[in-house]
Amino acid sequence: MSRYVYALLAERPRGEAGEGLQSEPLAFLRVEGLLAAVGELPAAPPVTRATLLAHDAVVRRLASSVDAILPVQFGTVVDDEAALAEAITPRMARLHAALARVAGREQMTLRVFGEATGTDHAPSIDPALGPGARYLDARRRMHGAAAVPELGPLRQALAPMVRAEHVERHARPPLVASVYHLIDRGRADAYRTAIAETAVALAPMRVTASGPWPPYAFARESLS
Amino acid sequence: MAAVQLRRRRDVSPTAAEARAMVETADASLLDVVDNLLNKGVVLSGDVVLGLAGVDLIYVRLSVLLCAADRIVEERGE
Amino acid sequence: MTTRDDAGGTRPARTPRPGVTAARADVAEIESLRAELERRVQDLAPPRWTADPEDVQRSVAKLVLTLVEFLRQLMERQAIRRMEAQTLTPEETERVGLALMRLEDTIRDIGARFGLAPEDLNLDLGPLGRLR
Repeated sequence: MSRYVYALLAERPRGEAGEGLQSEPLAFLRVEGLLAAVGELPAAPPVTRATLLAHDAVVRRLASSVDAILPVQFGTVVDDEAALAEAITPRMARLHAALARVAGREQMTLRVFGEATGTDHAPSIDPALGPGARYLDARRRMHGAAAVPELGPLRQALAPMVRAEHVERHARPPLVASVYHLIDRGRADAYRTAIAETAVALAPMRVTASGPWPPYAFARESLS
Repeated sequence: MAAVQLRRRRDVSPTAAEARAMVETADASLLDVVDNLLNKGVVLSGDVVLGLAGVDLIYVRLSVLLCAADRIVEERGE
Repeated sequence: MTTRDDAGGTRPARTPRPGVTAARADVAEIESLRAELERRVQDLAPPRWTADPEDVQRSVAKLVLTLVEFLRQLMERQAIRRMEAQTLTPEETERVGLALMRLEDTIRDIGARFGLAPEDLNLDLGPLGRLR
């Protein structure tokens, strides 16, 4: 038997923990200042519609009874507490920081469709600069393009609600980018309203929103 | 003769075939679930295995590498 | 958090584009998201085993170039940070920029010789994230 890991928490959930996706009882393993919500399963479940939805349901239920939760990627299994500690301990500080960031918050997912323009074509560079400096400046602006400038008017409307943002640009027309927003819990309706009201101004770009979700996109660490 | 394989080692993990099959038939809302559950979330079992001819040879523990990378990057700041 | 309905309950907020039916626009959009996710989930499992002996060279090249690309990206990010913080002299900026540019070209050229496009140099390092 192994431990199938659902999420990392700072504290035990209020009330009943409930069951896992195969109706197994949930347990909470402590690793220093964190708790891992786990279920004892013979192996990671197969990837099916039913198992994915069931896993998400477990994470949602946990999320509703704690302030901060870091969902763990589907299919994560550890042999025992020692293996869990080995994986978590070297990253304890980062995990705590991530938990602090998602406390009291949930995720909305935006998909941005249309024609990518992305780069900022403004010739803001000094023509006297050499090719190396120009290259570096172009790379800087390209990283800035990851902020999806196409979203312009929508950003202003959403700004009061957005606590953090994670962007993934896609080279997959008409899909331009996926934008993940961390908002205060309970603000999803206001968020959707802002999108509905600004949608016309975005044309020809189109945006679809889904959520609220537990903060999946804000749990994964990145190089930067 | 097998190619050099670079892969992440996970004791039991969803296979790409299973995941792909699921994505192929997923409706729009399930795609969002797939994105969240398979592409996001904390990754715990991040070990890289270097292998040849189907034989695992070198096991790189990423948790240690992550720690080291953090320290190295910080030391060489401005 | 509100509960969702049992169909998954995503409610897109959108305005139909004039002249294009909403249904057609949706299909292309959903398919593009599907294609993107298909590509991403491939990273979950080991790459396919091949029996072609010539592939050994290609996969070694891929491994090496991917690691070099990983380092190049780290260096580029740091260089940009320092450029923005103005802790590089103009001469240093020019030199570092040129070096990164040449490194990017070199990686692309060597990759091309093995039939590797820049997108192929991807690596899912688990907790460290993906390169692309």
